[in-house]
Amino acid sequence: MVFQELKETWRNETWFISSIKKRTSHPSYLKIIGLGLPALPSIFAELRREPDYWFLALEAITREDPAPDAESMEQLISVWLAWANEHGY
Amino acid sequence: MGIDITPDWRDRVRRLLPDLREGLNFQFTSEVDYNYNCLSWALSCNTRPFENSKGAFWPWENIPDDTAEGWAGVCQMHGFAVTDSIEFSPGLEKIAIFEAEDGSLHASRQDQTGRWKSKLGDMGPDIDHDSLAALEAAYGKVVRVLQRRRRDWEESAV
Repeated sequence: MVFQELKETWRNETWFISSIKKRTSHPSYLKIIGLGLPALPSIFAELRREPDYWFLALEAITREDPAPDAESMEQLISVWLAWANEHGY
Repeated sequence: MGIDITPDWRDRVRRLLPDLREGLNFQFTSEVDYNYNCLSWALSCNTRPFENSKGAFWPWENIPDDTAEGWAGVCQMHGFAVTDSIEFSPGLEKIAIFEAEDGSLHASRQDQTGRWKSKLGDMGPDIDHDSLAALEAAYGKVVRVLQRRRRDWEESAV
């Protein structure tokens, strides 16, 4: 429930911004990172349902970077969903 | 021709830009798409966002990706030159760069009929709109205008 509220606030207040850095420094996004590992199932469900820039949060929470050289959103989504499947999410 | 998008997204755009009236002064021209942003769309690219972040594209090492001056610099590298006029001029392609009070940037491109084309944010749809003023509620003021000669205009004149 907390995740859903934070996600809605983040998306409603940032979807129109053309800056990944600005969007991912929004307070609600940072609070999602603060939720830690319990947030991962929700983040991956969201990534499958309606892709958005969840990758900074995923890197921060998992402390992993499976796509260091990604050059597109498609690559990031693909690599992170493969990571999720491997780790049971 | 407009594009059907979900009621949810239609509502988001309505709340963001209340001066827009679908079918009157703007229309949706794409589905929601996360593969590019407003700057790349202003430069006619719809395959990757132009930003210095992972998953995005920013090969211009000495140009900042978060200032109007930097965005104008990228446009200049694509053959645009700074101008003062946002007025439609047949044969010229124009880009307007907005800057909001918090420093957020937006770019719109003028098409061959004088309408403006905008990609809304990183994640939103594309729209065609009659005026730049209708975007000020979300994106602030136009702080840079650039132009270049239209290639399609030259081709159609042959």
